[in-house]
Amino acid sequence: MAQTDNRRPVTILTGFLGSGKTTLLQRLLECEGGQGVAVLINELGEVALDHLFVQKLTETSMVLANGCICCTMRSDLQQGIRDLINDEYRGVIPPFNRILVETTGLADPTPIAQTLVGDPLLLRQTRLANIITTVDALFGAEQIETHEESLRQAAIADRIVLTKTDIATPEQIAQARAKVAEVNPMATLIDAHGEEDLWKLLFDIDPFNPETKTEEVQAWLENIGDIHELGDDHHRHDHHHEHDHHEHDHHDHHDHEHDHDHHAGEVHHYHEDVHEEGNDIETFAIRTSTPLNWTAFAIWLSALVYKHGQEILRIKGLLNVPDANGPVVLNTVQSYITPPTHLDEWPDDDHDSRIVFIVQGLKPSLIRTSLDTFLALMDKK
Amino acid sequence: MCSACGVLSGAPDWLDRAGNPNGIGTGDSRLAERQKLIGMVNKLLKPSRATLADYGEKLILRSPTGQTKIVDNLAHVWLEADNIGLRAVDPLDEEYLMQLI
Repeated sequence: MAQTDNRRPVTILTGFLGSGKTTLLQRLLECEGGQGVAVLINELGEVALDHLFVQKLTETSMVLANGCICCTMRSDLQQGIRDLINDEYRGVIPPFNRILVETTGLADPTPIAQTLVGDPLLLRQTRLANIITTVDALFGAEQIETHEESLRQAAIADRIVLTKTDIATPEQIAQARAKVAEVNPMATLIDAHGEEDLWKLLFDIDPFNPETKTEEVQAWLENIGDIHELGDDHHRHDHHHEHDHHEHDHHDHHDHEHDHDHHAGEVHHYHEDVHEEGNDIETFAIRTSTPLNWTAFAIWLSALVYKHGQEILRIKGLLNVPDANGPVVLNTVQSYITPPTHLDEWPDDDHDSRIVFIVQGLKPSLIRTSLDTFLALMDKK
Repeated sequence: MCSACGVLSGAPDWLDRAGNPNGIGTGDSRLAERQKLIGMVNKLLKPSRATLADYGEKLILRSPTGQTKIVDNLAHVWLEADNIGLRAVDPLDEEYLMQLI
């Protein structure tokens, strides 16, 4: 049975320069639920302009000075959260029930997520709730193509909010949507100007909360698309991407040389044997109908993220383990593995294990081979 | 601290508890599952000729030269193996994988 997690949820709000993070933040704070949000704003440069724009939050806002929140700055983020909690305890600031960290437009959000999950003291009081990325409908597709930061911001997200859809053309919106789906098919894509309640869309289903896990998993499964069978290194899919790099039959390309220009935003689904020497972000999925030996899988995952956590943006999965009625849900951010949770029942009739990876600079075929090897090793005397 | 902090300090025990506290796993007893876990890790450590053994609530990692490290949980084994200079358990090292087969 899922246990209630009373720790304070922390949301990371990221997005490229000018993509509408602060506008989104302001809208969220005006929502009813926004009253209980404490905000940490990270500013690049000496003048914290964004902080001025969110003046109403002064009491529970804190500016993390001196540049990006990244590995070298994470102590500031840790301290910032601790200070918020301490200030609340001392009655200096009003009570809050969620912390929202807004990154700079040039921040790589992965170290920030690491910071949130890598501090045992913080983990007692807070938990990573979700990563929201704003993508500009006007320029987002191009930014993802050309800017590494933008690409990583989209790739790591749980929710992607498409902004400026009120002024973008339908073609621009379609292009941005396609790019986002290509980079991160598991993220829920939300129109910032849609009619539904933005707060509800962003926060009602918490991807790291066991109580809402089933709904979250259903959303992943709808978006996963085609999946590679574990133990079968032939590419059996036939789906086509809008990106012209994908408009070919992958069955024929195992041995081919390709001369595509490599952009930051190149994302390759399942035809990894072609581009695996690059530093591109790859999204791929594995499926297996054979129940997974949990011990072997858990050890494999632990060793994988220990050694390659920096190159693994996300892993999400629904696992069929022996003798369990329902699936085990897996969710990782880089080297942080959310304690796997057990659902009481499968969300649909498909009971195969399905694992989706978003990686950078790693060979998908090698990841599959590696998992195969570990699973086989478990049975080896 | 390296990027592994999240695993090492953030979720230190889910792996050790993989034996079944939440219905994950095979239904074996926790002790039996722990032995399976240690057995599997020993297979992975074989190329480096190191061994892992149960040590009460903890684990003990022994290098081929006799160096020993007491580790709190399985997630720390990889770190301590690195620290005592063992060949890394790298699931994406093709040469290493070949040695496992």
